[in-house]
Amino acid sequence: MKRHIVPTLAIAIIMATQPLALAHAFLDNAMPKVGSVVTAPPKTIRIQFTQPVEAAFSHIRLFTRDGKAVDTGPAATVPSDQTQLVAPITGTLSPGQYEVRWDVLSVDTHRTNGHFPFSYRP
Amino acid sequence: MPKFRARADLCRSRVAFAVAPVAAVLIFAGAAMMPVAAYAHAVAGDRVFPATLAIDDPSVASEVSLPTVDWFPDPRDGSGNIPNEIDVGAELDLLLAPNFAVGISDAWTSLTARHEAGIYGYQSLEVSGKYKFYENDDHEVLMSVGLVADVGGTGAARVGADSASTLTPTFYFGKGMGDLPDSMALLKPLAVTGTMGFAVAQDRTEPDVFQPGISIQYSMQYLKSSVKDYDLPAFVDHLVPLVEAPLTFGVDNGGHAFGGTINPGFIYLGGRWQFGIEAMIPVSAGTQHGTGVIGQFHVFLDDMFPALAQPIFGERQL
Repeated sequence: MKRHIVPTLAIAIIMATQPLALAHAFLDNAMPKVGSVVTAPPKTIRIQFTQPVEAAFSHIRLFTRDGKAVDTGPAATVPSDQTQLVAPITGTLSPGQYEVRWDVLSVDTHRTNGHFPFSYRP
Repeated sequence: MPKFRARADLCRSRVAFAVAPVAAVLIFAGAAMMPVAAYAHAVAGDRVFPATLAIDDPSVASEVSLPTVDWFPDPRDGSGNIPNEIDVGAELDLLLAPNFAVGISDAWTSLTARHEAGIYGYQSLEVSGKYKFYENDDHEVLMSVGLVADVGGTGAARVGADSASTLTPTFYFGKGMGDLPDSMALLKPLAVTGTMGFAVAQDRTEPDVFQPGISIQYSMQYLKSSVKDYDLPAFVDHLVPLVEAPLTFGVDNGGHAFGGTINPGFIYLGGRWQFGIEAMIPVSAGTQHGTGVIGQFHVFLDDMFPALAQPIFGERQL
């Protein structure tokens, strides 16, 4: 048994610490914050992902509670941080609940998507 | 993709070890390949279904469980002793097509008891095929079917390996609760996964066994990213508290025993790996003499080495 322990642990450690490996890009945090209530209409939606994303193949969209799209500009990554995707809100927000929908392509080509709510109450 | 395996007399997660060298070769061969388009593992919409320890998850993926270790006190033996059982091992699963994966695993078992000589040996080699036939991202549903084969004569009888093979057709499902109404928002991170297998012993003197399994899990990651960000510590955001219940019901040949365990625990989701640990609480005296524990380190090969995760057949996807 002992002869198996060292190679097993070595393989596990190597796999866990592979420096070149990336992973799926999931939402780490956002502004407006997930599930938050804001008192001023946000001008942008910023999402920080767990991995760098390709802006050309990534999108952020905004919808009202009843599913009506709010105008947003194209999403772009922050030049100094490819894990942050930002989209300007070009439409006008009325008080109410909104849903942000995002889909991204991570730099290692995994596709992920998700959505989260926030509310605007002046 | 950990396995839900069962024998007529007990039900518990089997861990595998003999395939470790094969897994290592494939892993490092994959590392040498250029990354290309990669496939997701058990993801449906916003939901990530972690690889559960005792029952199999509802999707297909290229992944490795290395190692899985469990310990528990067996039922009393003929001498009245309570042997301690330890299983150590690994499992390798690889995508052959976008929705079809094959797996191989084995287990090394140690049985020791006071004043008795220890018994050691490998369990039967297990091979499996699994096909994901349904995915609904809006309702966070995954369904798969598979066939698991314990290959008879490949393990040591002294640790309970059978000389005859067992075939287990199995149905796998997963359902996230993200489509609940907003009034029940805090329940949205809940998910249920399960399996229903029927182990058919090729030795017809052995009992066939119905193997239902279920897990109930609460994803802190889902809570933070899709419901409400409570600014909890980062460690907490990676946790999935869960309860698994792999069960067995013998259905014929006198093997009408009810067995299995209830496993409360948690999984920590890293970026490309996960670690899980659970208690194993027996549901019957014939399963275990007392509570055991199981731990597993699991790696998602599609995150670690995207090239390796490419199906051998079928179109590549971006």
